[in-house]
Amino acid sequence: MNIKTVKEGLLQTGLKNVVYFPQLHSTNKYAKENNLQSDNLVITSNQYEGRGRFDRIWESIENNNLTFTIVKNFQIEKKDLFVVNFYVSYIVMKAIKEIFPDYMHRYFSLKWPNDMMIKGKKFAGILSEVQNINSAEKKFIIGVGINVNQKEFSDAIIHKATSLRLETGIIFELEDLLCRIVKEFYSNFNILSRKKELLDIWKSNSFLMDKEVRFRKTLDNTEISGKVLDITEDGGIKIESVEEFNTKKITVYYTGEISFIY
Amino acid sequence: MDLNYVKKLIKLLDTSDLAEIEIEEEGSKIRLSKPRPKITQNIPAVQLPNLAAQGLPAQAAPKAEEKKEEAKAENIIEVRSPMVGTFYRSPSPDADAYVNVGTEIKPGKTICIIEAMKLMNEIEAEVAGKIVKILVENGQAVEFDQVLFHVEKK
Repeated sequence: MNIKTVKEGLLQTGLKNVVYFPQLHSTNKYAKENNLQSDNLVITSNQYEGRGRFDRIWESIENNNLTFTIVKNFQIEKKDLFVVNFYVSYIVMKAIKEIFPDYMHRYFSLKWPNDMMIKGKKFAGILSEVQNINSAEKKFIIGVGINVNQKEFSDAIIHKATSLRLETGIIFELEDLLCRIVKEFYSNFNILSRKKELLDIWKSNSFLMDKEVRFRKTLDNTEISGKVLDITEDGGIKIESVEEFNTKKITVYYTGEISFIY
Repeated sequence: MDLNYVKKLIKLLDTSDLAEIEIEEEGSKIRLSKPRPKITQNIPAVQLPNLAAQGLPAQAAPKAEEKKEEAKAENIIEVRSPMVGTFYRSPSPDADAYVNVGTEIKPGKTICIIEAMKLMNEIEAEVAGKIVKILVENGQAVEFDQVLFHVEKK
């Protein structure tokens, strides 16, 4: 990765510093261990301890993908912390979609709560951590992983994971893609304080709205199908399911309570 | 008419606010009804000013007593969850726990993670002391204000 190009492209955005490592355990971990301050970015060409949510290991081949962490401090109420993930997933998607002609935009979709999909498979994810939650200004460590040019995935995940290259045939310049994302991150930042507008934009970028979905309830492992009606003000997903006697039931679920079935 | 179908109807009526269900199809007809619930709390209007004058609602008293029971010794502080979420004791599954029983803590030290909406919230100690009890299992769902740790204050 040409870090000089990245720095030139990014230091006009609001970012103060870029730290690059040819290889690193995890960009989030580095940011926390070294107590990096707001507006710092950590990036590596080979994140060898990359992780998804807790036990989900994320497969990444060296020099193929984008793995970076942005540290950002800002004021947000405790009850609204979750909007950060909605914001970042929307921003990453926005930056990527702009590279493609309009007719291809329908291939891209956001999946609740914060996955980025292309043609129904996941190609990017976020792992955000927040510190100082009792202060007015919180510190966010936002880790982003995007499968960009990787061509191969193991059999275990090939049915649900993919990369931009695999679905579009295009080989991307990682430096350019990173700069586009970080620019969008800074230039749209004030939407974060307008929750309703942000959720509306997020919904318009998601294929889930008004669609029939199948999912499994964590509580009793039952499979249910229903129609997604809305994303609620507190980040839950509102689903209308058909129960016994054709009665309709509307339930709001939160992350961890359900998992979608592919 | 299938007996199971009738059973299901009874269950539906039981669990609903409906007083009556009547279905007619293909020549058979069924009507189920249940007695209206008796109204037991019919407080005369004249008593209302009296209740208001008492100030606090009657339910407040037992709650206060519960709180007293929870706070055991004077030097034991309860650390409560700031939000609804999932409780984790370590930053990742293979990493060491942030704290164990006996760990000395001071303000600012991360003691656990509460995950909510896929956001990892690092919960920091606000007092100096020693962890004496961990009341929640790793991976367990927690409510807002649920007690997570007992800390012996220094």
